[in-house]
Amino acid sequence: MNSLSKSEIIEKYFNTVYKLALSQVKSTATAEDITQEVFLKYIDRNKDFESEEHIKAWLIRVTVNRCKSHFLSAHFKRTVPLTEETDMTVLPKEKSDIYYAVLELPPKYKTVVHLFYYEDLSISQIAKYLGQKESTIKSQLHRGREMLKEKLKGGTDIV
Amino acid sequence: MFKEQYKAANDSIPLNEDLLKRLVIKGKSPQKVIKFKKIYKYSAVAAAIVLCTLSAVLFTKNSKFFHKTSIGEVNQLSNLATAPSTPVPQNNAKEDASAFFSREKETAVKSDTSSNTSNNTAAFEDKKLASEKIQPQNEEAYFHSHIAMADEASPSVQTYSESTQTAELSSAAKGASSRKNNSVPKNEQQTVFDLDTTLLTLPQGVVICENLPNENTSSNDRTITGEGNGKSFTLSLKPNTACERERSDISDDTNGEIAIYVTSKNYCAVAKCKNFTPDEAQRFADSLKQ
Repeated sequence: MNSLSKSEIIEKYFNTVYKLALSQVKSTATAEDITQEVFLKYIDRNKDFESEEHIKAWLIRVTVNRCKSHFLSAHFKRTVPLTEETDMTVLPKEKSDIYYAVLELPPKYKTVVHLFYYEDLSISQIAKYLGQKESTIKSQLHRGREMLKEKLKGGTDIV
Repeated sequence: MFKEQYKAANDSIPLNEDLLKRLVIKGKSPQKVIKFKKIYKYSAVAAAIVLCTLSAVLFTKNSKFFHKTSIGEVNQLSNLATAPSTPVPQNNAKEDASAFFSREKETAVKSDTSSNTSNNTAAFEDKKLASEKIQPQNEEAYFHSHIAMADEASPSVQTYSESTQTAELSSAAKGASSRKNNSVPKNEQQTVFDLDTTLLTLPQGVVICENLPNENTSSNDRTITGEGNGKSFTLSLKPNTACERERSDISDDTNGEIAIYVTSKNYCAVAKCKNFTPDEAQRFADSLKQ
């Protein structure tokens, strides 16, 4: 039973879905496609959600699954991008270093790190949203931090 | 430190406002009613009906009737029902006197028996003569198919009027006599005999072989012979006036031949049955009394 309408939900969580998709696929065009597909799926969904928390969890889960499907798709496997890096020239140098360091992580660590540091979700919430054990999320977060430390060489404190 | 910088980096990435607007508009637009869930229910019902129909058809095709008659015979039987006045072809070896009589019943019921009997006599005679020349092949299977049809059509047989029977059989007798005289005598004794009823009471496997006028005696005398399944019978029919005395008895001689003597209102019948059981002979005698 959600009080917000679908358009309001789209406005509220558009950023969340898009940024999560972008962190996964490292391509703005693909991230937009995935965002569109996720919200169209949400619009076409007839079942009512229990709460807004439920909606957020559903959107994150669908986005992660859609990104996994993208990596498994024949189009992704047969296509080589012209530029390896994302088109984020607008980012400042110090910000882009951190951001690219996260993007270089393996997908499962990238998801956990993004949700933990950008969406401010707790480990239990991430575990709930992704359908995994909390211990798994903890270990993935720990390994992700270790990898980031290696990449950033102590330039930034990862807390 | 890392958290703030990572957040700031993410926040500095621009969003596609056009995509956001389009999605918001899409979210505001009324949703289409999804009908396929209802269609699934209807299609399930339709599929169930189709399956039931198919199973019923298959069951019918595997039934006793379809096992014992070939496709050609089924077509032939349907032709008997739809075109009763069609002349019998000479090369149709599978039609016997029973089918002929049943078809003629339908013709007689439809026509006015009181006024048109004499008009139908000529056509009847031709068909009768044609049927007499026919030797049925695969008699047993064909006979059983007729039994099955007669069981299904029993109500119509029961409602068949006695006057119609009289008209038919009298025309049969006239047809026999016309082979000699080429004319129909008006005031002669007529032989009345319900051949269909008799056929139904015959033992299993026994079918009519010959149904011919007795040339040696009177024009109204008839001899009907039948055999099958190791059994045989010879039935002699005479007009009632030719009977020596009234009888209604069954005698069993030592050769395993059972003789049936029946005198009814219109004829006297003598049937000699070989290898009939007493029950079968009794049923046969009962049918002759009717």
